[in-house]
Amino acid sequence: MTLLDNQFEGRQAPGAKPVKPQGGAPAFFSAWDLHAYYGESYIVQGVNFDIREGEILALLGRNGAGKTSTLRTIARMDNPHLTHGEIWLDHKPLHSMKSHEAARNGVGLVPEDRRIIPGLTVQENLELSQIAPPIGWTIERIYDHFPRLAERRSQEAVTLSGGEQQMLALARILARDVKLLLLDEPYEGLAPVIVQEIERILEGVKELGITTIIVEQNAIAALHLADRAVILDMGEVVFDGTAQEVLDNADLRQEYLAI
Amino acid sequence: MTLIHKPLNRRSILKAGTAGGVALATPTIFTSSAWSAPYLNEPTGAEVTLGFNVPQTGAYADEGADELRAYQLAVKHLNGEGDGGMLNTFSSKALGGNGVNGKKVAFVTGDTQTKSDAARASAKRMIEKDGAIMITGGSSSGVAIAVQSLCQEAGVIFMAGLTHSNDTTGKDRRANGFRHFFNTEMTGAALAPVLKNAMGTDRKAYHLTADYTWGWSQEGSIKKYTEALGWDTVAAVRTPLGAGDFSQYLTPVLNSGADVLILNHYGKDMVNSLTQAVQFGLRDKMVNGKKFEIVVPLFSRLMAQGAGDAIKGIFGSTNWHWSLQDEGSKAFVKSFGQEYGFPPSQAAQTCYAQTILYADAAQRAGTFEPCAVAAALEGYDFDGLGNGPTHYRAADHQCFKDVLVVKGKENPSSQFDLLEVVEITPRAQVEYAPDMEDVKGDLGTCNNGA
Amino acid sequence: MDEILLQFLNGLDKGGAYALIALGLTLIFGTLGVVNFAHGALFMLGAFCAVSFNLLLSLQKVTVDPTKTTAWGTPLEVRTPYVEAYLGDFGHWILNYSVPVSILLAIPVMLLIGFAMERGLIKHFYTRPHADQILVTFGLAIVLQEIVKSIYGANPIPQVAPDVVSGAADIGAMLGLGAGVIVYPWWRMVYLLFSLVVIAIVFAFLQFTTFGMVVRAGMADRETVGLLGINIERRFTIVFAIAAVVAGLAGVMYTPILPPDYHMGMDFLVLSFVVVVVGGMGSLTGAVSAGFLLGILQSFASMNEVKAIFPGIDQIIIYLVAVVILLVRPRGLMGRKGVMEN
Repeated sequence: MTLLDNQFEGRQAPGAKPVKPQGGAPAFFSAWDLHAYYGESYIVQGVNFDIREGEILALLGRNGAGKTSTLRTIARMDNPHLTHGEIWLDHKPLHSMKSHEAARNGVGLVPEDRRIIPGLTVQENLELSQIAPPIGWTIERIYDHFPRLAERRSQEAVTLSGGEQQMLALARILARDVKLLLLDEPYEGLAPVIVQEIERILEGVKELGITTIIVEQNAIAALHLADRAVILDMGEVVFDGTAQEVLDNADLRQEYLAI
Repeated sequence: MTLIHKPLNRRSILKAGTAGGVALATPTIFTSSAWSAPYLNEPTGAEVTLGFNVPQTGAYADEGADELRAYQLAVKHLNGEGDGGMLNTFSSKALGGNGVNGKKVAFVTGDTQTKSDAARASAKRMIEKDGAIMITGGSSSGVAIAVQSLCQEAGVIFMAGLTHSNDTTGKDRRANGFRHFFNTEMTGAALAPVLKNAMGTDRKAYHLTADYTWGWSQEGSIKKYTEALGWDTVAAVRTPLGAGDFSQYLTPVLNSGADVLILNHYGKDMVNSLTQAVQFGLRDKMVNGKKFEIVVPLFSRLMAQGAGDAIKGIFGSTNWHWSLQDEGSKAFVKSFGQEYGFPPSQAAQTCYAQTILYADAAQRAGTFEPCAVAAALEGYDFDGLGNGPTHYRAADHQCFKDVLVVKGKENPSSQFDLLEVVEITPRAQVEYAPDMEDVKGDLGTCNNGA
Repeated sequence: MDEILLQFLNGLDKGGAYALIALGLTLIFGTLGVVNFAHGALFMLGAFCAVSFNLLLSLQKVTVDPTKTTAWGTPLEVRTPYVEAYLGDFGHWILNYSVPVSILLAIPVMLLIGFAMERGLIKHFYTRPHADQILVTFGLAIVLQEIVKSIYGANPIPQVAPDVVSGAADIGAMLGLGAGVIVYPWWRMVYLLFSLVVIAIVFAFLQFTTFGMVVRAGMADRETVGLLGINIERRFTIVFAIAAVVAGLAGVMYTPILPPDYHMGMDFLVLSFVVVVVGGMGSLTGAVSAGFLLGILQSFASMNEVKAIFPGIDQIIIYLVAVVILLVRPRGLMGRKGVMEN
């Protein structure tokens, strides 16, 4: 399944390789010296990385390394609490925003455990995501590309299967005009067959050229999708390079990812 | 004079202290009222202070407000201001309108909040800090009994306000305490014959009773007198104080076979239970071939105002009512009405009367000493305070006078004219021996608080 | 048998009041995350809207009649309500229907009060611990109570139901059980119906409007709603105002059943919290169901037969149920998992 249409005007054409900006121009996305706490626990301990527009970054590490916390911090959620550092997305300072403001400025987080809203149908979940600007795809368009969701549009969303819920979670974000897609464990808890389906969807999303950070326990799958990789250990960045480098370096993988 | 000898030790300081103390106390032995027994809060200046302890907040705040108005009016009259009110009709002419025993009457007020603890605390404050020589007031028997006991311990006189339970001058009577207001025993004795005439002797009664001392007392008294008439008591159910919604207690009445509902409720409880009983159609029911009746043995004009139309045709009793035509009542209604713009309630009348009675007793005794004042009140006969000839019995410090049986008016002529007096039960009919089962108690001895 | 039916009806209409108040409480807790101990005061304020409306209508023209005097010697004042003097029969009709008509007054007044309360006080406590919220809203409740007491006095001010529904319905006769066997006041049944209608309106609003959908989403998962760019706090004022109106309307229509006084808010507040705890904090259906359930339980517990077996059960049954629920299933009958459980 390919997703060919791209209505993201003014950006690079789909499929084109991103060009490194000349003269040290600021990156599309920048995280500078992030420190974040869950209550008293010091989780994100000085994380830095840049992402160019259209790049896909795999954020890897062992359990507890701080990957999900980093994503949640970037999405400006109430916890973990950002105590120091700056986050810039397309020249906008995210670090001074709350989560809903960040979402209005282009951040789209697909949370771990999907967080489909109970009590609402599939249709309502999608409508909900279009209440706040900026709006992306129309709901009809989403139904065209996710026929399974179209079939279940009046069903209570929490009764969908795991894979369908993941589709809905992604669809919710596509319904918004997202500049930075944050995927938190998209394959978690899904059977291998479903994982492949989601992978295909994500490849389609990749062709849209949306800047993405993917956190995934299944590091190999993430690395196949990603252009770059950043590895976290104990809340700090221990590797920042291309995805291919990680795929090639077994020692690196063994040390920090135990695979 | 060096009192401190070396070495400085405990014994020498004790010795010095005693010597110093005697030296300092010497003058007072000669200037105090050594010629009469010393007593607490003896007024030494130009004023004598009375303590008015009424509910200024809480469910009975409106009754408390009326009591306070009556007290202030009484003080005015005692000090010779205003038109003199019932001082003009009072049988005793000991008071001259120039204060009491040559001293101007002043007062302090306290808020009982209709709670015993708060009442005791405020009475204590008035005695200890403000130097009150007499405490009066209150609209709840629980509060009255608590404050009466405190006054007994402290050594001041307590002139009860509105309290209806037998216990106040019954099992909880005290030598320092005096009650003018009637009790449930007298209500029972007065109501029973009127109920017999109006409703017959073949009746089945269902009691709803507020679950505290006064409720139990009234239920007991009414049961005693109605059963003596031949009535059957089908049930007596306790309701929590301040219940609000009585529907769950009223529905069992509907099919219990009872044809009279007796509401031993006061204040807010009575307003609610009566209104709801009427809403449930109890007034229009026919049971056992007879019309269903509701009796509220004690109610006041203030409660009647609260109950609105529901009070029409309901029998009850009161200590006094402003429509009485004797000289004392007319004088009081005129005085109070001109001062405040509406007629006094029974709570106001009893409080006014108690203040006058205390002042008069102190004047006759020539002193404010509690034991002397008590002796002047015990066995005292008087008239002209609105209830006809009244006797303050020595054995239990309870006033005996005529009791009014009232009924809610079908066609009130004004917003105050809600009750009509259907019978004035003569005093002889409601008298009882002080050692009768429901009302006996130990008076104890008076306490001067010296 | 008829006793049981009567107590069931009692329980339903009492339960209606509980359900309405608990509904607002749960809305506020579920959406704003605020424990609102001033909610009972809102019920009381609604009741006093009815009282004020009636007082306004009863404003009397005072003319002094020099030929008659009062018992204390001043000239008698003759009072006629303005409304009757100027509007005649219609005026009389409005006075009679003052309680239901006062709904028209209560809705805007309660909206305003809810708005003021939320913007003035509640919004500063969104992120504070629940204990702080309880303290400050309870304090507000006391202040409101005292204000009402100082204006209207401490005694209850009874309101009458319109004449047409002020009597009792002979339900027994309707069901063919014989006349006079089961008699129940008309107004109480009107109240039950009214509460069901209001509950239905609130649920319809939540189910069928976009705003309602956002509120439902916010109650279910506030974090995710933020991730979708929605500033849920901007909706809080409206939600609070709606909850205030619901509580106020419950109060308005309750006045003929229970003469309103300044303290009635507190009496209902404790019960409403118990209802919310039993039904499940944050569950609207739980709050409504628990309201009716506890109302019915309370009524049955005060049947003499039941009290003969368990004396005093009528006073404690509700709290007993709450204790059992808290021990066995702390989230409440329909509560969201994890609320109150740790």
